[in-house]
Amino acid sequence: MAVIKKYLVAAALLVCLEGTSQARLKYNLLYNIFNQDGSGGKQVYDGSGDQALIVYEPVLFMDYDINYKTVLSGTFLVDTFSSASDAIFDTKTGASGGAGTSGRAGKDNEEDKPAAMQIARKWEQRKAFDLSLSHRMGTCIIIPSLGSSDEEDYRSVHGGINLLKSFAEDNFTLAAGFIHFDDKAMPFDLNTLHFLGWTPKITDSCVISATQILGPGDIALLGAGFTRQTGYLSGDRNTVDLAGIRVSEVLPDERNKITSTLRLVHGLSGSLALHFDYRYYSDDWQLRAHTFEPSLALGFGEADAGVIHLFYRYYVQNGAAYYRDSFTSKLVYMTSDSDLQGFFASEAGLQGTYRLDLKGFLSDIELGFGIIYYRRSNDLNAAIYQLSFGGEF
Amino acid sequence: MIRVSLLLLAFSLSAMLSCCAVVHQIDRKNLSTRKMQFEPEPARRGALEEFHSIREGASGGTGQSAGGGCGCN
Repeated sequence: MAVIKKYLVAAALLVCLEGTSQARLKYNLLYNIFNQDGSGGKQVYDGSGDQALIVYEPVLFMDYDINYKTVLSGTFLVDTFSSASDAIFDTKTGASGGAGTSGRAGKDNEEDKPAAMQIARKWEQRKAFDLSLSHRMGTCIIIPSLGSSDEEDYRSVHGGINLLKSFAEDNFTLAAGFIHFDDKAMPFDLNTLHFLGWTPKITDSCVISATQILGPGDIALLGAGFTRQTGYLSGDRNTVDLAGIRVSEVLPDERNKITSTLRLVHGLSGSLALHFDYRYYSDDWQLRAHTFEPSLALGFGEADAGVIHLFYRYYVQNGAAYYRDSFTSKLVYMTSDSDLQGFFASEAGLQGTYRLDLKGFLSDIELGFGIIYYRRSNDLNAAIYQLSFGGEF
Repeated sequence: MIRVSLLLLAFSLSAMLSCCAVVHQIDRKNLSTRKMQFEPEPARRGALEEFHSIREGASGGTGQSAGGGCGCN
């Protein structure tokens, strides 16, 4: 919290010290509705595989142009979600409201009740924010950031910095970023039917990228990233079938991830652009993945007031080394999490934005939408609906 | 597949380095439009990236970090 206060004070000082004659506030309110269904989740406690999930997520984005060199940005969200697998776990084990309260607060367990008396938590909530300050210095841009996320059984505080440097009249840009997550999870012990207390999970991630303008209608980006995670990396409600008995999944307390990215944009005409993204992923849990995403972006209206983005995404991964549908004998590491199983996924979507140039106090009103369908080969599908409203003062 | 990926990246890098003709500011009108940005819909795209990172074994690599910040089920 002390770090967050320092950042907030620094941001406030910058706002005061910098000239505010060009101050401008842009806002965008995005509402995401995410509806998932599927029965292929071998990690679900009762063996039903039920992975139904619905999430309502309003997100507020704000950009405050302090001056022509400095922008303060903020993102604030409140998720409300209901998960079938969470409800099943909570109901069957008692890991809901009452039993959890004492354990989570680190108090004695005098408030604990028998599992049968516990009421499953139907709806859960997550609150999160991120702040960043972008400051241009000549051909460099420096962007420090910090954020926080808080839910019933998971907390995160994170901070990082991004640096951009452009060369050759901005034709070539190098970018580097680092972010540190200081997270905590609240695992539930299936042997004692009590929470184990806040358990640390640390993530350090760095990315570098090079962007080159290849011509008046072509841009390319090459990127690479490395992420190291340590601490509690298991899912706190994921279980495995061990010779007919449900036990918690066990995953290593370390994971190192490498990514390579290629992104291309090619202007097909004055109003149409072809995009292509590719990512290769590899980690030391022996998981490999490829992602291909071709898309089309269409600009229309006066001064490109509207944009329609039509995309298709294909993703394929092999299973992590520790994945099995079920286990006949105890292994050091065991998971039946369907997210770590071998599968392929297809996603198609349409997103659009239109900017209305209204004169007066409320100018540049922006309306947006998104419809996305996602289908995984191991019995999971999802639909995502998005609506947004934005503008500036 | 790893070799194919490395070859693809090497080819792309060499293509980038061999095509470094400077495009002057005055010729970048098309490049500055939203349809030519890597993320034409950055805000709505962020929500999708978050979804992918919790629903798939792979994460990161598209400008955002890989992991952390969400204990999503």
